Amino acid sequence: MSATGNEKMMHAEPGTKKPCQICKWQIADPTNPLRGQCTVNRNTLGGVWKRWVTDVNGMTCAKHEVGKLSFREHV
Amino acid sequence: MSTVAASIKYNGKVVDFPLANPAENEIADEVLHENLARPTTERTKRLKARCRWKHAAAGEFVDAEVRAGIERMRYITEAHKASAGQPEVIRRALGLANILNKSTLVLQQDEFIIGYHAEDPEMFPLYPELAYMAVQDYLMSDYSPQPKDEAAEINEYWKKYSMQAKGERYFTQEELLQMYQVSTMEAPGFATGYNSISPPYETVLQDGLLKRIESAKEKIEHAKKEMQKIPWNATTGLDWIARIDVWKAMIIADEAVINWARRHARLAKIVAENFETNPARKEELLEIAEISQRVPAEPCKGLKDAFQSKWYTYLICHAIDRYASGYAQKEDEMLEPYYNISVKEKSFQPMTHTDVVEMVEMERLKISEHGAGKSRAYREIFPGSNDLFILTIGGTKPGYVDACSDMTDAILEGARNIRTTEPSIVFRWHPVGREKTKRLVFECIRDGLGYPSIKHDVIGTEQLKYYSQFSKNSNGATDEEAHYWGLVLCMSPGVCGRRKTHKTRSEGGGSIFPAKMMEIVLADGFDWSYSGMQLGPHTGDPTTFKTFELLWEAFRTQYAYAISKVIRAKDIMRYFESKFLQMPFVSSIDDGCMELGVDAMELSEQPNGWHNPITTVVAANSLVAVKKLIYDEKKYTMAQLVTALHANWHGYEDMRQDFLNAPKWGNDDDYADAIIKDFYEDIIGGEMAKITNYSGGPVLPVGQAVGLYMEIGSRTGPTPDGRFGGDAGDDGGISPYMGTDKKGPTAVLKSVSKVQKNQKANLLNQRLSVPIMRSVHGFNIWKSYMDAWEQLNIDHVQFNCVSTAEMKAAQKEPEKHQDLIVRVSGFSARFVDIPTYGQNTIIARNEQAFGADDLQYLNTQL
Ligand code: SF4
Repeated sequence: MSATGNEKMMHAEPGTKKPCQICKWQIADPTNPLRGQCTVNRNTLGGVWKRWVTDVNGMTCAKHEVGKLSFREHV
Repeated sequence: MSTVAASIKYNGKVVDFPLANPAENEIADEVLHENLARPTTERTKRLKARCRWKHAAAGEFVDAEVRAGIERMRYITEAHKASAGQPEVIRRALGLANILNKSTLVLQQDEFIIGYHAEDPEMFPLYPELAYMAVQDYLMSDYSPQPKDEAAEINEYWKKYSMQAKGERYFTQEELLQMYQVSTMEAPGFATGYNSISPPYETVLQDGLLKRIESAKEKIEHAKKEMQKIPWNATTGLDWIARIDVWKAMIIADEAVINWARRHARLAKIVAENFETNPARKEELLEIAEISQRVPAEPCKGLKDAFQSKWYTYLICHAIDRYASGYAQKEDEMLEPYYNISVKEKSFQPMTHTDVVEMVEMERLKISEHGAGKSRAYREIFPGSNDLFILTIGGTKPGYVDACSDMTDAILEGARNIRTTEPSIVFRWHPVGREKTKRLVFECIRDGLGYPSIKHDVIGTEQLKYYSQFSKNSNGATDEEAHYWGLVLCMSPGVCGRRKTHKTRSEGGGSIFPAKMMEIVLADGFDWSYSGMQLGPHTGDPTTFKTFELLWEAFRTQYAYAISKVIRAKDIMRYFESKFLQMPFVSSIDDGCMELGVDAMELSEQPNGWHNPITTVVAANSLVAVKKLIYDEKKYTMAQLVTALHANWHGYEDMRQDFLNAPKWGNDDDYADAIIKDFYEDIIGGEMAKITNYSGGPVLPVGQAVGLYMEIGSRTGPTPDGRFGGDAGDDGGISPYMGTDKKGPTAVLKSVSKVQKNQKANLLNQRLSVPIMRSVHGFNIWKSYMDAWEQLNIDHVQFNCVSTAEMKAAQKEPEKHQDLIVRVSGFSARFVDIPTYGQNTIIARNEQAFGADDLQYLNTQL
């Protein structure tokens, strides 16, 4: 069962014009730069609940926003 | 106006807490830290003002100017291509020599200790021979080495030769995915390049490299004669081949290091004679030239020599030959003989104690500028700092005689005065330690540096004796050598000195994450919240666990699976290190490698195995809550809990409150502590101790969180301790979860002291009341706390002494709070360079005041 519904929303879409790679909520995977971490799930107390992005160029979701957050807004 | 602690009634009298320094009454809480720095000289003030910090946070560099250099990767690649066909150990030496012979030298204004590890002080080197993914990450970043095409070509060249390619072959794709995502296990060294070492500095300072070269030459001569013996005996004669190559490689490496230092000498001389207009600086540059001409080739003759020789050795061992985190050394005892020559006898490089304090400040600023070309995972987990740099002081000499000296004091005074996040300091606490030095330790802590962190001298010393018995060549640390130890990174003692030191991370280090394991135990080993994959063995549907013991054993199975895998990964890395990543320079300065003709990556004399469980307390508190509410009181079923967790507690707030309010670690609560003590000793330590690593000894836990408590928290769903998904984990190794230690500082000590078996070290983070520590009673209260801590046989403690008001003010106006330092976990950081998520975890820690009950227990004399 998914935590918040977002996981259903993150999906593989080969050739997408809105890949996680350029989404402001994405930050690189700690080990493999072709993977990533989605940080769009944030609670009101400042918690950031991440989801693994297994292919930063081939996945997307409806919350996609182009940009880059500062380090202060990540973990 | 500064806050003053409220008076209390203690021992039948009213005790007031006026500030020890009345002038501080006028300083607002919000800006205290900005008023504490007092660099010893104008020079160190200038050096600090222009320091090129390389703090990282959330995987990124805070300063936009910082970037990767290309020279190191270029020259090691060039040498690798040119040396094809030669023995691997010789190729490694030639690689180092090519880098040192061709690299651009850096000489900066005002410096006295010189040397840098990249072509520009804004840069740091990369290591394509280690992990190609780590370099690829840099290539995709804003701080890629330039020209990028050349860097990409180099990385492509190394792919098939890299440690990563070699190590990956011995794991399944599923195993690699489980490790690489860093949620239940840290990624292996072959995929990240992360490493640690305790260089045997003492041989360089005491012998000089020319003498080491002579030793290697003598060894080769001896070996050749042995091989020529009649009649030929292949069973012993062939062994000399590899040994001769090792000694030859040592000579190549040492000659290159001497030449490199002497290039610095020439550069300083050229600048002095042709460009410097200030006569005083000109004279100083000539002295710098003279020093680099002498060391590390020759033995050090005075304290300036020792600082410089040590720095060159550090750069080679930690950054140029190979990346290694840490700043492991027993600095006060190492430098004390040279302090005595220069300060007390004044027979060479005469100077005053204050001059030494300035040298300490300059060394600290060199470290503050030192950049690490580490992988993204390690740019995430030390937020607000460059890397882990920790030196060790204090403690005892053989026979438990106080090892503190005036050099110890100079190190502490320099740290207190200059205020830098790094290097961190560890003070080995023993009752015989002199009070003068302990007062300086207190002043650093009271001023909010977060260091020294304190280690129990006897526990550390006895532990090295214990490990010695497993030595593969029956030459582990002697009882005398066991007293000469420093922390390898932030928590684990390792032998320092001329021989038997820690050379690579397979010996110890690396993490494992019980909080995430707790989550997957409740989902049959499946990670539903982060990666959507099976992370561990199928341990069964938790709703079928009829007893608490079944849950306990399911956890044990997940933990045993993960810990065996990560240690296997480390040892496989070690196997390939000894064949393809030899360290001829390090070998040349280790007496054991020199004597035996064995490379440092292969030789293991003193075992020192450990691994770091991080977020243990989240798992432990979860087990307590489940036992109480599901198995003992039967207020809820496991099915209800699983449902609530999958909903991230939404719609189950009353239930969450019950789980949140279940007994928690750190309150001297018998119910919680009995379960948690067993958890540490039976599973966390017990399962780890069953493992035997490369060095032939057991692996024991060193709980210490670094910034991983944040990273793992964000990759961990909700847990039965009442945590929401994404909330941080616990910030120590044995610290109570933030905000849940509600019974005062001595209750924390009592809980922590209950865990004794099967542990190597556990980090205890505590936050102390600023007004009490800065009051006239601050030292006495802290000292009585420390004495009680020592008597309770607790391994470690470290402190934050910073107010919530100041941290909140810094969140609002970061640019005004550049000198605000906090202790994260095992390292100190510039508060404003930490992501808000991490800042909030420090604010959320309980600020421990000392009530009359605490003081009574501590028998504090006020
Ligand atoms: S596109 Fe969607 S899934 Fe991808 S990083 Fe952005 S918010 Fe997350």
